Amino acid sequence: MHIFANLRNSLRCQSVVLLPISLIFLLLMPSCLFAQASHAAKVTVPNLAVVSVSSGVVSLAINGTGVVAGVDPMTVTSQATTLSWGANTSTAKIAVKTSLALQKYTLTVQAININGVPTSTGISAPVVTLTTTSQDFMTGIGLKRGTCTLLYTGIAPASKGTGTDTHTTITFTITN
Amino acid sequence: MAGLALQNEIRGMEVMKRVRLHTAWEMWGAAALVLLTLSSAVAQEQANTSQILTLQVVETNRIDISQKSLTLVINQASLESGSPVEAVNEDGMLVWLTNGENKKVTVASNNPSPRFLVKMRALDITGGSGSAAADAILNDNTTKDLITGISKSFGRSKVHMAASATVSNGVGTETYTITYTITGG
Repeated sequence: MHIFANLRNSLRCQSVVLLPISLIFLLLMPSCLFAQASHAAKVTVPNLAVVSVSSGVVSLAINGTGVVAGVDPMTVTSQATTLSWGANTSTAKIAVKTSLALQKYTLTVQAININGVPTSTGISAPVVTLTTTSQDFMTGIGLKRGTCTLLYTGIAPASKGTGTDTHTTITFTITN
Repeated sequence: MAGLALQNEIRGMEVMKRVRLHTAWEMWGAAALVLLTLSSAVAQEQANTSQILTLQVVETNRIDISQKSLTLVINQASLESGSPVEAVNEDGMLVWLTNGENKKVTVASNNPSPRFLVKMRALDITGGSGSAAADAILNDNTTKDLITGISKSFGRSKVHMAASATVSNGVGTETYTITYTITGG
């Protein structure tokens, strides 16, 4: 009995001491059992700009179709090709120019059916008469991607007679 | 003497050191400028795409008359001659366009042997080129000149049309189809 009494007392004393220690251990256990580490991840997105036409070749012909007697100049249009773009700065714009310096006929281009993502709001697309000097074709395209139809219009006054203008390179440049 | 030479040598070395230091600063400045220029060039992204476009204009001739149907009525006679007075119409407006050179407008009737006499000419030609030909007398169904010398222009003119009859022609009605053509001169 004495032995058992001593043992009980001993256990009681130990439990008084061990219980708080166990609680503290349990509370601190996660930090004790799991190691942690970290590193810095840096994502850099530079200025990005892409532009592309759906076809590299466009043909326009004034051949009498739609020409009205007494109405000058004669015109012809093409909506056969589209332009796609993407730009990630707010100031992005697209300019256009031709390589043909001496043109017999007038050629204009305008972006129509503009489909901007997330929105087409704020995009401006004037009619541009093509020259060898780069001119604004679409502005307000920043932070957007999208597509548009290229509306080319060939304008030939009767006084210019017959002939062919070959614009070897009509260049669309997106600046971001 | 040896001490003086040593002093001069030390002074020269100091001067050289300053020169080298100055040169180094200048080189650093130039390098920084080049880096700045390159970085601003890289910052502005550009992309291009291009097309080849051919605009062909072939010879095109168009002509039209405003008055698709008209009636000339000879219903008066001259007191002096006793002959019927000709009926005149100038309401028709002829318009044309050509980007070709040396063209003319011709007129033809479908009536090979008309009973009455119809003649016509162009009036008040505008458009930069073209001259009225002599009166075209539609006494058969051959083609007659109405306007000549048209080149790379668009224009218009009135059409003066006159119908006459003699007493011996009697009374009656004739219908003509008159065709205007712009063609090579």
